[in-house]
Amino acid sequence: MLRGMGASIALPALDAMAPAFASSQLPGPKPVRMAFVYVPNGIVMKDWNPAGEGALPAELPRILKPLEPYKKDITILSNLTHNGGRALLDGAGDHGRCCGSYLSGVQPRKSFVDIKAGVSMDQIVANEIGKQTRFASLEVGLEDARQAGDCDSGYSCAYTNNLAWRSETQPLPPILDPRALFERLFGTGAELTPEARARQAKYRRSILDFVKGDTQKLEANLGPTDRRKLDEYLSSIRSIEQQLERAEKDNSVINPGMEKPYGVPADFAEHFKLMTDMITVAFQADISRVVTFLVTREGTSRPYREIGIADGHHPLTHHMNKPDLIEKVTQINTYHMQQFAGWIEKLKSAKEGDSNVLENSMIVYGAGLSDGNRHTHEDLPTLIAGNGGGYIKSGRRITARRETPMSNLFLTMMDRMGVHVDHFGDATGRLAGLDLA
Amino acid sequence: MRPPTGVLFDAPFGDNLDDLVALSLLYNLDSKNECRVASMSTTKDNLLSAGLFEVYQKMYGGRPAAIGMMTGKVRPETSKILAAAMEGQTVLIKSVLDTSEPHALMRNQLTAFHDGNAVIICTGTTENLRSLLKLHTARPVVAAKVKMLYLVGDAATPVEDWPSPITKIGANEAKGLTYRPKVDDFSWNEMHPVALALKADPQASLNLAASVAVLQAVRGKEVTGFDALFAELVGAKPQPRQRQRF
Repeated sequence: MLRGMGASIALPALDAMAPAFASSQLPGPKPVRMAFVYVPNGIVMKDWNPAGEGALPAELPRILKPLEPYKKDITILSNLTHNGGRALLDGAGDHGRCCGSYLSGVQPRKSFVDIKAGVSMDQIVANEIGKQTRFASLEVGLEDARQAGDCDSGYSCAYTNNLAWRSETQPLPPILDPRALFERLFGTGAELTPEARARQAKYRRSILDFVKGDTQKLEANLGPTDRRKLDEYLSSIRSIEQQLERAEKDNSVINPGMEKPYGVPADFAEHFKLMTDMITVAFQADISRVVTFLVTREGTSRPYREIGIADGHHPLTHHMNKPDLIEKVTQINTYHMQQFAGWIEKLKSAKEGDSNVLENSMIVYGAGLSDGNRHTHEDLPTLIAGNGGGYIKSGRRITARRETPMSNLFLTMMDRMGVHVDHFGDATGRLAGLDLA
Repeated sequence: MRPPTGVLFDAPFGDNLDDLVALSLLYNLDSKNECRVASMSTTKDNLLSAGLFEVYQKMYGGRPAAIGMMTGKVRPETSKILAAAMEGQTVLIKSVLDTSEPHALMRNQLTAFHDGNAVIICTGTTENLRSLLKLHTARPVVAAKVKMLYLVGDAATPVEDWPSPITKIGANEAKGLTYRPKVDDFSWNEMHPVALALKADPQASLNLAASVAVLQAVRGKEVTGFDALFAELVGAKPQPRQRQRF
């Protein structure tokens, strides 16, 4: 840890730390990280599912195309189902149910007052291994959304707007503001008053300036490889700071008389990159190993003017099989994937000993609905980037039997995170075929 | 309004003519909205046996649904009846991945029914029911949803601690029945599995215990006049569906 006045920065894994890591209680030789990137409103499956089984084909389907350079690092999973997302006598409200059940594996209670789902699997893992890192888990999102009220046919907004559930009744809202995430990760954690924030802004210096003394002392004791690694790491922090400053300047030019568009900063891609850059640093420095990332809230009607789509996402997904509307949904799905691919590149380039952070991670990308038009809860679009520290034989498509619970995947992932539970959600067992064994 | 009773059917489909007749009867009752086919699973590790359900689903206008199939090379043999019934049929089930684990499918389907509004009919082995009970949280679901389990045939082994009432229908209970389907009964569709099976094996033995179980499960224990009802219902052309959503 580099320390300075009112600031501290966790360090990435350096070669010089090897003995320290070896003596730690990590589940494997390198810490394994886990993240869930959730996109709303389903995905156009005809442009998602690759042909055949086993090794991925040379050309990936349109939506997955941005991941082609990382084909060997991903695993596509087919036929996973969330029965808890289905109506099961509770009528309409598939968006509320699918998001509420996504990581909890249970059907959420239909209510917008008396909410109840289940402890999400990320929190089960965080409760077990969270003591080994500064933050047991991080909850991140991009779309500002309320936490109360009715968001889908009687389902609370707590279901559509959160992925992580600490208890059956307590969701963990995502951090949306990059500045807040940055301060949480690298600052003192103390809340600043508006005056203090303004004073800090006036005399803003890089957080790196505050820890300069510690950095110089550390550098003097490092070999050339570690020095380069540390330099890359600190540069990435500085780069995030600069992005934040740019983003804040961008916001300042928005006419306050207008309703501010979704997200901070205004540009979706920039917001996505900022948040994922910070998650990358958090993984590198082992600040946290568990992340949930709600890209936008389930059922969102956000338009994507950045790519020329002025219609809301959710209304578009009820396309009634009209080709022009399906095309727009596909473009949104692909746009999300482009942002995700950018993050994958970043994780892959973050070296960690002989491997990289991506290799030591399991980054699940998926949705709680497959066909957003019909609201189907089977064959959910799911992929895992990274191989969990050599656990997953990636570069393949694995098709489970129909109706295989998504919870089976989660049980398997929990095993890999060193957290062994007998039951989770509606699991019928572990997911066959994922591991190398 | 309470929806019709859901029927889950688990059997080594294709091993005998009775199961095919019972399926015809069940799908016809479903098309008349007297019941809802909730889940179909075969206790044979045989894709033709699983494919039979797909044929029935299409033929009777049912919604495409997951189909359960046991694996592990249990009872994999293709009987003469099964081979004939599936001859020339076009199905999408090509591999085990196109099917579901029977116990997971049954559990999921039961969760979609009102309490006490589902029945399970099981002929032959009860392995899938045992696996169902072993699933975490499945027992209370079974206890709440299943109003009756019908164990059909003399080979049906009891399920220890089954949490709902059980009715056993042995081969003897169908011994006196004289109904026997004819190929012409299915003239509305020459690819009907029963018609194809009868053509291939006109003398195939038939004990109607499973068909009795279907009628009792749907119309109640007090139902009588099985032969007449079978004659009326088994070969009937399905009615166009006007399904209600519940």
